[in-house]
Amino acid sequence: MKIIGISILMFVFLTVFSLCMDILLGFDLNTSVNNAIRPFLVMEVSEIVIFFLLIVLMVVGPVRTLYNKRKKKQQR
Amino acid sequence: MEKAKISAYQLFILIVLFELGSALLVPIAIEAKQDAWLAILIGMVGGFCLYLVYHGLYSYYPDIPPTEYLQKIMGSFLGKILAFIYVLYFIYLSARVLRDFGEMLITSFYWDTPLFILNTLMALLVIYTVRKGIEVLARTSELLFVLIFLLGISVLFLIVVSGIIQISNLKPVLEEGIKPVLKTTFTQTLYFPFGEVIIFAMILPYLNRPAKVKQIGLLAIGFSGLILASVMAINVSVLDVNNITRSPFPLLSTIQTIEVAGFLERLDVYFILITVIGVFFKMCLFFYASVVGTANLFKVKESARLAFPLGLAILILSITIASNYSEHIKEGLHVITLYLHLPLQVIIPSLLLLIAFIKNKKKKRKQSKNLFPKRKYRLVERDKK
Repeated sequence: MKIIGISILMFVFLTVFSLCMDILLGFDLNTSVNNAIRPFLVMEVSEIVIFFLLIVLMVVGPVRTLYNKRKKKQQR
Repeated sequence: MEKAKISAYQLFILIVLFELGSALLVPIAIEAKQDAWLAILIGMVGGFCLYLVYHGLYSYYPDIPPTEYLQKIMGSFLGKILAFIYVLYFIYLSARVLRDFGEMLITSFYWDTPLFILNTLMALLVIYTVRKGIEVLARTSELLFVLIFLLGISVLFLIVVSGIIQISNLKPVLEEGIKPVLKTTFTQTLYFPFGEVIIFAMILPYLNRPAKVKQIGLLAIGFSGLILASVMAINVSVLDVNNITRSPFPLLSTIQTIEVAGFLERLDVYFILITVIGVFFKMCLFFYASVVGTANLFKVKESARLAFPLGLAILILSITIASNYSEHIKEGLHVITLYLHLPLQVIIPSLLLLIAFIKNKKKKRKQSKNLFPKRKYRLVERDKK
């Protein structure tokens, strides 16, 4: 779970980083947020499937490790 | 840090492939017009200076990565914040390189394929490589460097044979004086691609022969600088300055003009192979540095476990980074250079080196003071005897 936490933290900071760069380029906050979100609104079905598959894969690994750890603890 | 070692030769190849990576792709230093090659060469000299700064820091702390020695130099709190900013910077640059790659493929060859799919394929490959570690990456670079070298030589041979080089396009040299060339150097080529070698500060602790770090690094930067300058000179001499400013990928346009004996033409695959290999290594190195840096900063024992989630973050960031290619390039050349490259590649490392120098001098003085009384005591004891 620590891994997921770190990744989410990094992702949030990176998004802020990217938005700051857009603002420094001359866009206002609204436009830069819209620019960041828009590519995901016009995705095709295949793209959406792959995108969610990747997210599920990211979550499954750490959750499985956590489950195994708890199971071992319970067995002890 | 993983227990791995790379040789001096592997470091040389990694630096060369890293420098050539996306610099071959985009029209660098084109603001200097026909003197672009000169701006690259001056940028290379600046790159030597920057590498010496990074090497200076490495020589004070040879066994630990920058994320750790930042904390030793600046103190725990400030050092951690700076290290975190550097990790974010590496991830951000990795996402930019991935976007470059995707845009290149979409603009020139895969018109109907979504950017997300192309970027996903590359990101998965990079995640897999980074999970395997730096040794695997270094060995892969040894293999692919030969291929790139052979491709480069054959492209050069075909360009010369097809007779498309017009040296007159490179004249007049310094038409508007040295000022525009220096301006291009200090606003662009110094940071991209030469200043980006800061990433090797994370890789240098893995070298098996630390004595060779300085020599190998300078040699690799010099070699890649010469290649970049000659490629740019060839591009200008083949295409003319006006065509290059309009072309998103000048090397591709140059290769497309090759026509030998009426049948050897459409050699775009050369460009694809060279750039895909270069971009792959550049992205791998940025990504590897960010994964190792994050693991070091957050005390994660197995850094490989971070590869997939961070890779996913890079993939998403590569899509959201800009709404189109021109915005992406403009942001890269004007905003990133001023607000990210200049402070993080030049100002902060120079300050760190200064602080490290002063700290180590004080340490040495303390050590010599501690040694002196003992020596005096020994001398007194000897006299008594």
